[in-house]
Amino acid sequence: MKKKILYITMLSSVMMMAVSCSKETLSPVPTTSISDANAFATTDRILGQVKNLYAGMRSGSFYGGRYIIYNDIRADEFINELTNVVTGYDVWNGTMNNSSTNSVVSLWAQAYFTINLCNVFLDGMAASGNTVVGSTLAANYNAEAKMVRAICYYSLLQLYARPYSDGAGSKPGLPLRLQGNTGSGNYDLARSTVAQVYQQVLDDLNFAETNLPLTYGSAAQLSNVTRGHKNTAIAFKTRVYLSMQKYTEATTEANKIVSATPPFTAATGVPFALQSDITKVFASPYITTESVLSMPFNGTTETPGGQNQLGYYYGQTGLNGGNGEYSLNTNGIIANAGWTATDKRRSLIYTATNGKKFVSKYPSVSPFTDYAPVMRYSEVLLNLAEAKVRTSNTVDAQAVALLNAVRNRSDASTIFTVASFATAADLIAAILTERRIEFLGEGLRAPDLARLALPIPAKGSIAAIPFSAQNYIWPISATELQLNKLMTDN
Amino acid sequence: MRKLVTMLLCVILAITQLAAQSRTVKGKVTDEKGNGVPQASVLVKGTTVGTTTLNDGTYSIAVPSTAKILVVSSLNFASQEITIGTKSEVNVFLQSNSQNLEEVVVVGYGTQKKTNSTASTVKIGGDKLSDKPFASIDQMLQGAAAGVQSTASTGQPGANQQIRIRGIGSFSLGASQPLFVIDGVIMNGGDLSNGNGGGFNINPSTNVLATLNSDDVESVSILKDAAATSIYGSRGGNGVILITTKSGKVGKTQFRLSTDLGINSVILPPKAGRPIRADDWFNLLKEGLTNNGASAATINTTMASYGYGNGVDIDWFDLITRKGTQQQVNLSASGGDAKTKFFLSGGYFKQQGTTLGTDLTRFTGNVKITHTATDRLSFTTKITVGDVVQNSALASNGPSGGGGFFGNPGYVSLVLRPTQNPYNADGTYNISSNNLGFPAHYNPLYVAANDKRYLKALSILGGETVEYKILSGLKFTSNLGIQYNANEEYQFNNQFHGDGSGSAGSALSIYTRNFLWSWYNQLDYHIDINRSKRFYADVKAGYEVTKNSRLQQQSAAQGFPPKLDLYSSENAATSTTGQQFSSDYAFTGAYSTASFSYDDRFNLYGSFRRDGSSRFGSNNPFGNFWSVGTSWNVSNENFLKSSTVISNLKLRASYGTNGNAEIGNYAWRPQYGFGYNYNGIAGGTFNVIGNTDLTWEQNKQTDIGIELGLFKNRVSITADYYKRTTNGSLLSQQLSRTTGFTGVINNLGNLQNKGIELSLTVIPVQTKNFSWTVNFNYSHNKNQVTKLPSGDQFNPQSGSYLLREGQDFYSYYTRAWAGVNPDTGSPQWYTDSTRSAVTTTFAAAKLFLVGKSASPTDFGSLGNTFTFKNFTCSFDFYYNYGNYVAENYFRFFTDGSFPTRGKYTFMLDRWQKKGDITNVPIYKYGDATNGATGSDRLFFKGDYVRLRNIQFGYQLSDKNVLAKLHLTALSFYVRGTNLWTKVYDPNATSDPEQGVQGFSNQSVAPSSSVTVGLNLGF
Repeated sequence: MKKKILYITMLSSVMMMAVSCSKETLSPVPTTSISDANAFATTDRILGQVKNLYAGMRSGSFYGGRYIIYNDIRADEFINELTNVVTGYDVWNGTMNNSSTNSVVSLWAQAYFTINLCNVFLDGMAASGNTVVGSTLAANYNAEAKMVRAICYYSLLQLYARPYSDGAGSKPGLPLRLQGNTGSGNYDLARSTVAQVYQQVLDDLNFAETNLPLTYGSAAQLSNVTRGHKNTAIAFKTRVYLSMQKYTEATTEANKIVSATPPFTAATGVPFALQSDITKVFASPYITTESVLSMPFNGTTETPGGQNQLGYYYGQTGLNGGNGEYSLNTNGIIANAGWTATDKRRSLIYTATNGKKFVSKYPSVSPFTDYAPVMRYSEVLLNLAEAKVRTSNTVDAQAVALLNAVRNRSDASTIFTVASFATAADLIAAILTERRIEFLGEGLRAPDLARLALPIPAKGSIAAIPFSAQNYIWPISATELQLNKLMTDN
Repeated sequence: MRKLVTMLLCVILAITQLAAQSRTVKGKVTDEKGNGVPQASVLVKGTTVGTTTLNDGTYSIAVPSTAKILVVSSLNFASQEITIGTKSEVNVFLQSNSQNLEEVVVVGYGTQKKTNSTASTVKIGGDKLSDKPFASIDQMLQGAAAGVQSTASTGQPGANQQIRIRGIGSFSLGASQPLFVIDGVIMNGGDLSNGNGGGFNINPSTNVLATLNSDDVESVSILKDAAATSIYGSRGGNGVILITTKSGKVGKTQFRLSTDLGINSVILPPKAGRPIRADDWFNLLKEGLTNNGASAATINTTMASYGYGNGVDIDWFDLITRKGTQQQVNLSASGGDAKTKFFLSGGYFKQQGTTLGTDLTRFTGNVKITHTATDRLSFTTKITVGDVVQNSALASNGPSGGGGFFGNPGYVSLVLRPTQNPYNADGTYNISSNNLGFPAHYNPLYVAANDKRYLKALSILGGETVEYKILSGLKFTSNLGIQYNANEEYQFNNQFHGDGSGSAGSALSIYTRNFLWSWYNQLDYHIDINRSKRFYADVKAGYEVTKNSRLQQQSAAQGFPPKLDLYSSENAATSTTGQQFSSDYAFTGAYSTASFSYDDRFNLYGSFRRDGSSRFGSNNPFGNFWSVGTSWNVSNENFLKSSTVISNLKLRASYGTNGNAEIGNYAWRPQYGFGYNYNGIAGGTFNVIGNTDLTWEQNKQTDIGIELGLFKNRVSITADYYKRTTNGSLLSQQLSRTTGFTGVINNLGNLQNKGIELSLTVIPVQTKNFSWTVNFNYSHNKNQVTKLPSGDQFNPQSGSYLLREGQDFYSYYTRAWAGVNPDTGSPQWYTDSTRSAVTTTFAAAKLFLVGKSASPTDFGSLGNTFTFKNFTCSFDFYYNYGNYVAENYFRFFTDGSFPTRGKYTFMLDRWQKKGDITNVPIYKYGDATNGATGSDRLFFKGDYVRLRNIQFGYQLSDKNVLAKLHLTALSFYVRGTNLWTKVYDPNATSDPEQGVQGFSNQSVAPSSSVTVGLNLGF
């Protein structure tokens, strides 16, 4: 019996050893990522994170495609061709609901995902990163994070909150997240008012203006177009103030980067200016001084992803192999008589073999890597023009000159003079028309209607949506209502 | 000890001495009916002297003159030990296994006498698993055992079958699958392709078990309660399925050839869910436009633009389906002598799906050799190879398949208008993009003809088992198993029409390789405690390591030359993706069991296992699991031994803990990852929050069972009650998206399953020539979510369900449909859960738990087998009751919000004029009422009964005829599978078997088949 026990003991120990080494066995190391502890340890990793903030914003669900598309198609310039809810049919016809996955739910998540990237980055920089990169770069990087955060909040406001023009910002805005989240916890947070969120957007942009570099240098044109610098923050502020109908402030900001007389340029920092040929802005290499901020796509590794691409929605088989999701509304701005046939911007419209017209600003073929425009300098000029007219309520001469600058570079034959406009309202109408022509397919139409409390006009078989209607803005994502006990629906 | 050795020496001496002298013993081995049992093994106990019976069951053997006992055994019969004394003729009567109390059950890491078992297990013999028209063995488990839900979510040949043992114990879909163990080795089960819910899948569903030939399987055992599964520790929580492959049998080499051939036909959807035809469609269009206030001119133009008057009238469902062929051929050889036994087999299986572009072809080869080197040492080597080619229909992501892809045949068969002509006048496919062609949804015929979408899977199972009998009763076993699985998936979307047309053709290639090795070393000690031959202890201890490494490579390309036959991605102009991913896991476990049995009356069992896993967080790397079980064979008590009524009565009870470790391989590690590039610079970020406390899901299970046999087991009943609570189930704690995350994975939720299981076998008639057997089983399960981290939250599997404490796991959360307003035809909903008021405004209706679930409350099967002389007839019904199925794409085919698409037949019942009482609202072109979305109008009852199997067979028994044919056995049969289905809900729009989640996704429709088969033994 003793022997038996001996056998068992010996065998047991042998067999344990034979297949043991369990410590090693139990720790396979992932090959795809590194430990979170060292994220702010080196300058490379910190710069990597800065890049990632923009990459978050560039997501196909956000500025890389769908944000721009949604703000176009929920307005009146486009007609849905394929009745596909995955590509915004419900956004187009105003029937999206809380659970509309591809629009209401996913854009909300992507914008806040990007906001959290900014917040985590700001926290990490404060904790250790600032000392790693030194004070100058730290200020630049923090400013970039705040600028991206500001753009995200501003963009969310355009879709998920009543416009500022409705009750001067008193309506429910967004939950304001300003701290990074890296673990679980109680995340119930109520909506701040629209005005409060706008104030945060302005605070962040002001910080950015102060701390961003003037320029990334003339040798770094790519960065000047795809990352924030001082003039980017200022330019974006003109858009924000216009949305708030704060025309004096909009004028002040715009004047920082628009010279008093033509040719209009930014005097300091990156020298914003209109290109003589608008089509150059929408063609490779996409890097021009007119591009205030663009979302870059490259080759095959940085792409907008399936069913997100501007060129896929607006392009057409015969143009670029696009899917022809949205054609231009024949009763929309393309019917405008004042938009002459020789206007260069008419060349950015493609007529398909079936006679339907499509926006051809994004002509590259699959994987559709045209840069997505966040803002162009012509908008700053028209923002300034409109703000000046609205503050002075006169036919402002500089406003006319700004309008001409945008019009004449594409259509030399139409020259506006002060005498062309009987009243300030006529001039404003002309500026707004110009915006519709200039920014067709760039996602400005719906926010322009909203800031002025205008109804969304009828299109095709879809009736007009009055300003007061519930579906004038988007509902809140169903998951948010479910998970954030303090959240309220629109 | 010394005594033992002396005895052993004496025995050996005696044997060697006496082997020299011998005499002859003759006799006949017969079964219950008195028929001779051919090829039965007859061995002199304790020696290697033996023979096999002839075809008539007779034998003759020269035995040593001191031989005392003969051991007679045969497949499907209990082995018998007969004392021969001085007799020269010994006739042996063998009792078939089905009625035998000495039946052996397969349990974790070994086998056990059924009498001594304390656990709830079910064994399904190989005869129930062979020659069925199913690609994988898990499909054959439907209705085979109480407590086991086996359900398909798609009719794709080779698709993953969803199996749940005793309810849902995990929040994630993949984690609720049971553990698969083949020949003692814990395997990777389920979908090993790109599937398992991650991203886009080329093949919506694949199944590693489809690489295994069910004809090579000896038995499948299903372990259900803690006493059976806790030995698998952190991985046994959702039940265990043990698959044992066939081994060689001592005797003359037996060849078996089985082949069948048949036809697969599609099971039509219920009437309400079939697409309408052209006349009806145009009527709807006209009515819809009229109701929308369109002018007569607009109506005419619109009608004309969709081809009104062209006479095109297409039955799309008919076009995308076909008759498929079904074929298999299996050949095996089995035999051996006292030293070496072998089993060899080869198989071919081909199943053509009934939806265009779907099929599966499999080749298998299998070798198993057992060699007894010495009295003490034996080893077994096994290699099983399976090669599968599976062609799939285009469908969407996720394990269920189907979906809204514009080329998915199931979906487009409904969404396409009956007025779209698939062919041009010259007979070529129509792929034009005007309203009469295919501007949005693709021509499925062209897509099926020109796209590629396949899986080529190679699977190798290897095993090496060494057994060494150290001393009497003490055995050492070392078992090393490998599972190698390589899945090559390829997709080509053609350049002319469909998803690839925008990129001049696109190709995606995914290679996934899994290599698993698992090694356990174990000691088994069988002790006769006080040498009374009444009181035994069986003790087992072992140590096991399992390791798996997974590699995946993906590449994508686009820009193909304008020729359809050059679909390999090397022809493409641009390579768009080329990436590699890898992911490993490992488990170690030390385990031990002890079971005591006294006089075959009282049994006590205990198990313990300590597991470690790379999947557990660094703060919780090891866990302990244990179980106890007891059983009492009341029928072996004196007061019942003489009973003529009760032939078997056993009571058992068990309790124990185990776990489930289906956690993402690196889920616990907080990670900072790269791949977020911007302008070519590698951007990095926190991409996984991680949780260093992450650990297994803990199950506690109680089981009480009774096994009752009456009238010499003419009636046998097994009934179990169980209660299974799962604590710390992994749940991504959903977070407000404003946090930037969707959730944090954590051990947070508790679930409970309670249920009863009943199995009944009755033999109402049994005579020499005729017998009738009835098999019935019934399962009832009640699932409840018992704890959630912070109140209600969406089910991680789908936002269609809401998790709420006290409610079923798959409780639908939606608006309650309140029918159609008879005055206006408007859709109506109840405003809230009180159902006291109705509204016609979608937004005014609240979402709530509408009291419907995707989980069936009851399911089971009823089978009958009649045998008359050489004829058999059997049929099995499967029934399922109490669940609801949700039609995910309902709105596209219902009402007028998508007026240019095909419509369901039930749309013909729409409201047309004031006073109409109907459940279908007014048809309005461009309808924006949301009547066809977001309410329980989209659900139908999942109750159904299906004739799963019907079979007529004939077995030739005339020995003379067989001998003339040089055969040992010949039988043939005609079998029908899924031939008849009764769906109880008249509103059902699709087949009610739609997987455990109950979503109808317009996936590949299920099939029925009729096969004729032939089995030859020689």
